[in-house]
Amino acid sequence: MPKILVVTSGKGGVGKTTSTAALGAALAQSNQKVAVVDFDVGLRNLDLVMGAERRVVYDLINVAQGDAKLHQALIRDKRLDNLYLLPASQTRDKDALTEEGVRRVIDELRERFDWIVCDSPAGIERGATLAMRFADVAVVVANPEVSSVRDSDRIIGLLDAKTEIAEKGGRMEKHLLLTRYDAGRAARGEMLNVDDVLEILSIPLLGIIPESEDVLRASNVGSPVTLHNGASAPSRAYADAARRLCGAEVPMDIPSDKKGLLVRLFGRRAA
Amino acid sequence: MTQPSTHIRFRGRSFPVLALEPDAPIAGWFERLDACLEHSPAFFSRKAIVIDVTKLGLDRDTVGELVEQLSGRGVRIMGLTGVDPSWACDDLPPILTNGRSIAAEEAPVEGGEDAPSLTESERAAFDEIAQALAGGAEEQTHEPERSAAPLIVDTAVRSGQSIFHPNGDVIVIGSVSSGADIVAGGSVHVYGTVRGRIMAGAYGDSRARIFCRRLEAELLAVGGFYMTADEIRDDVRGRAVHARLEDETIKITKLD
Repeated sequence: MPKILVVTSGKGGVGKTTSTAALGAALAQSNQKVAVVDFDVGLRNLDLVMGAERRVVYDLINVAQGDAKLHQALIRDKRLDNLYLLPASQTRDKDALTEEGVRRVIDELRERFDWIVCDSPAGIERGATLAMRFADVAVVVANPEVSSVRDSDRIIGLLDAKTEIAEKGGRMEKHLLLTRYDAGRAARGEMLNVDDVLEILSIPLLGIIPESEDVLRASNVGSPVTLHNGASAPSRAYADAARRLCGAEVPMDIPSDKKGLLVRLFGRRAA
Repeated sequence: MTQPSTHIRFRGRSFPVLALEPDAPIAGWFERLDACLEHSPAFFSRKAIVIDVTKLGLDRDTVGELVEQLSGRGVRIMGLTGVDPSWACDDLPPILTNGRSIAAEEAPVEGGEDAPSLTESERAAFDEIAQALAGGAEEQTHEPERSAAPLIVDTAVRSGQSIFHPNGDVIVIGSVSSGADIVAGGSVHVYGTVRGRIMAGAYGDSRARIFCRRLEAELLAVGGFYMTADEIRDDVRGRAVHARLEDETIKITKLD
């Protein structure tokens, strides 16, 4: 039974595209057939992070409008045979997508893939609601800061109201992915800690991705972080998150401040 | 209990307002108005005026011109009525709808009396408002048949969402997020954390109460009296509490 997953957030810059690529690649590494779909029409970044920007010929809008066949637009990943990308158009405006068009594309993808991972644009506008429209599972990406958490809360409200599954009376499965987590700063009170965020959002935690240079390094060379360096902390966190998405019980690794107790005590006192 | 009350009070109030009804041709009307103003130059001072152009069917530019002309004569225009609501913009006075007229004996401008008294029409207006509040509340809520049954919300109320239940209680099984609103005619019960805004007794029921498992609210209101986050004392913040109105002040008491 194929699953439509939407990776969404209220704010931009929290790591949706990075997370889409990383989760998509991690799912593909576990021998499932995965398509990652870029819904961020007008900006188009997923192909860059996936390292496929020079191979884009047709895009999501071409397929949605019937100008191209799905197999013409799908780009197979060079590293993984069962990972495909459906890129967004950079030249068209975000209103070029219609609900009918998206439904047709999703239905067609459903026949060919185990997982369809949709990278949503930020915000609560049409692009974002279309990306979540036909999803069964949502991964809400948030940073441990107040504004990001507030916006994520807003998005969770939309997931419960504006999606097809919600309109049919169902319940969207939702998970929280906390990205750019810096344990030291959380301990010093400069960031919200995991408990605070979970308290406010009250949806299950899928994973905590530590703030790391590996993420930036991977995206700059056009590789999902899970493929770039499988041993790095963010890679392992994403891989664990992907396994949890598939229903596996993986103990949650909450990154802690390894600088030692003294620093933490003094840090706290100063805060 | 002895702390000075620092809350800001919000209250609905009705003021009788004079509505000027220009008639066509406007040039002629202005002539008469000017004649009037010559008799009693202070006629419009300290009066709020609404311009009613329902009968004229003017276009937007003409209305703009009319407003300008009147402002030039020292008429303080607080609103426009009888125009397309989509015209609302910064250059025009606010657009009002659903104004109700009261039986005016004679249009005061045309009467041209010196310093006409408004007391009679004021009284009439207040009578009408009192009547409306006592009997026909349906006009404000557009819901003549309202049920007093509680509204049960069995999910969290998320940021940006609003729950309105004009009559009866609201029961939330979950939290109310920061940026969410609950507006209830009756009491509000939240079996979770309140981080947003809760308005109980929003239509004037001062007996309404607010109950919650954990108080982190941005704003609490009971019967039109408000309290913001800053005024919530530290000893009740984060606790299970119960809030009610006592002598026009919201009192918060711990439940456990």
